[in-house]
Amino acid sequence: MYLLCAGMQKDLRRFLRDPVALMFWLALPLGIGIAITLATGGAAGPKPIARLFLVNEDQSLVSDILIQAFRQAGGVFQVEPVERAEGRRRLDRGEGTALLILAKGFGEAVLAEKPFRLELITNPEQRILPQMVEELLQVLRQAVFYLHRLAGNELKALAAGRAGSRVFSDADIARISIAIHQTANRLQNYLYPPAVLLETAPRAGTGTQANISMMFLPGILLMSLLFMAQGLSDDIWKERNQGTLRRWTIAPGGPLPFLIAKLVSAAVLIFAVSLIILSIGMAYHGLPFYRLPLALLWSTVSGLLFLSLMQFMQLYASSQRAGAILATCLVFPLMILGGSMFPLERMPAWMAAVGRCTPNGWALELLKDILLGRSDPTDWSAGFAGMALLSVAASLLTVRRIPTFARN
Amino acid sequence: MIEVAGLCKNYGDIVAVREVTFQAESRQIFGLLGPNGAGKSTTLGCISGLLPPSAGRVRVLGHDVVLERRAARAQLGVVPQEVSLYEDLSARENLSFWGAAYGLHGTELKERVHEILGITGLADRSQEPVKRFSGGMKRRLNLGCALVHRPRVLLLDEPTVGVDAQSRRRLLDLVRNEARNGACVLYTTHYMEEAEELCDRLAIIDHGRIIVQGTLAELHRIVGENDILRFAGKFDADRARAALQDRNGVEIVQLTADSLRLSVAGASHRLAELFAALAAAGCEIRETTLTQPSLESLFIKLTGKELRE
Repeated sequence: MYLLCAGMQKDLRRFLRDPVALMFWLALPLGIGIAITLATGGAAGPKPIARLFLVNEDQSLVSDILIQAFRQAGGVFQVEPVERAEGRRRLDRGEGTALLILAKGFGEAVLAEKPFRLELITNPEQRILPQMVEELLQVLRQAVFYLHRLAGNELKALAAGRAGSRVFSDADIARISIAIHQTANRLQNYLYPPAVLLETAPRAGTGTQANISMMFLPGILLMSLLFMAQGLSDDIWKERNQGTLRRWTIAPGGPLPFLIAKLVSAAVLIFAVSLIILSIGMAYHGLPFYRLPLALLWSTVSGLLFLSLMQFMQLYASSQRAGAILATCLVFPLMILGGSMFPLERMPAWMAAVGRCTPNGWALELLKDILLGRSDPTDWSAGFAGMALLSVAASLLTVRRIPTFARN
Repeated sequence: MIEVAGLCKNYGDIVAVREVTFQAESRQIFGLLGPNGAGKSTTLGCISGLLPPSAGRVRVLGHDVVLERRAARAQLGVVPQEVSLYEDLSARENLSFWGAAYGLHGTELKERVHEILGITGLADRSQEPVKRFSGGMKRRLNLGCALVHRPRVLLLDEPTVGVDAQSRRRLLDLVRNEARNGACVLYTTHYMEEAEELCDRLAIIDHGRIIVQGTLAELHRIVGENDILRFAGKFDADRARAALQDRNGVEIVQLTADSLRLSVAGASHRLAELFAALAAAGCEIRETTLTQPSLESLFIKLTGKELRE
């Protein structure tokens, strides 16, 4: 126990006497976090808006209704009327989400239920918003289909008599209303009460909705932990180069107590850095602080796992430089795949699936659930057990390897 | 206190130490003397437990270093060849840490650290980071870290390499003092004078094998009264051998095409005679060196080469 305390004291003193590294571990994630928050408008930032360029060559009542439908869809779509060439040019410059061309004859075709080709050009640089435009068009297409099933004859008659007109007469409106009313009466046995009741409710629990900058918070913390693990794992080379690792090896207790002391002192640092990042992040995003202890514990255990794995890997590097290169080659792909640079939700499905299998991706998913109040005790207790098991295995292998590493 | 019997250490096909056997006792400074790469550090590594022996047995105070590792190591204080300190910690912090690593704590540790700072002459710089120390100060602290837990057996691997004369003197005094206080000291060096000055018993090691061992007096008897005379130049081996073979008190130690080493009684009085004989045999002499009887000359006599070659 005295040895453990002495070892911890020694390592903490050494780490604290390298303030540049400490500042880097703290400043990097905080800097990135601030930059992302500013870029995304912060916790109360604007919702994502799909900017739809619309070329209305039809100028019919139906095309007007379609435009209104987009404008009233929860404020997600910003519809901007443009000319065909201008719309294409601006979309090519990446200024919009999609370009929808309503060619002449669209209104008539809808009323007469004739096939018509709508042209929708989407921005390949965006993923979700163009899909939303497509989805809404699909919904409207289906609405037209069902409207025809209900009042097809009236609509066809309307199309035949008033094609191209933008104004309905009172008589037309009355005729259509009566027809629809009669159809509704005919179907009321089927419609009321509805055979299928759709009830929409938020998921059970006290979960919090995440905005973009909040989605980055666990990723940024995990990024910091990976950098810390990289920096701290290099310390085994410092111990070797200054000859102290040899002294550990020939001490009565062997290298195990020294390694444990090193891991515990690293845990203190990881805990401190996590505490600062999480406290700032949670306060900024208004997350409840009762989730902090579990999040802190999880990030500390995750950091220790990364450190144990990297430390073990360092022992097989041929030199300190090779070790540093190896660690860098590992850290950056892990950060990208594991959701620290781009949220897993924004990745292609296959990439997100791979990312969730990485140690940091796995840790990130659970940390996110903890922060958003979606975690299940079964999930995190299994996670802690898995993390602890992996860390112990990596540390035992490290202890086995240290005497050879110290001698070479 | 230290018993080494038939110790062998191989690295694949390379034999670093072969059949090394010796014993060192309490209050004794036992020197392992040999050139670089002779196997001194490997022998020390096997005793300290850093290297597993390939064959043979090593006991420290009766404890086998492989089978009773913990008990054996607890009695050892090891001073590695390279300075092994935490450069960003102070002298006091280094001593405290290594003291704790060997089981000291509390007041006992504090007092011992204070004592070691005093005997190593570092008390007034005890709070400074080690990286600001001179080479000699680091060497003294390196020794202090090995002494802090009062080891009964002290292993020192060339502790004075690269140290100025004053620091060297201080280090040797510290080692002598430890032996006087009852420790068994195993000291490796390739400095002949240091070994002669410090050690009670010596083993000369070359190519991983001990070629001779004994007290200083015993080794001096082996050296005898002969000087070592070295000629550099051009030599016809057969003719040089013929010219020298029947001369009284002259023994050929080594003969190559460009070098000749002789063991000669009273060499300074026989230089003219030997020059003439070699010249008559067609040898061309460009340089002559005369070494008086010493461990150096014993090493040359036994191995045919100088210690620093």
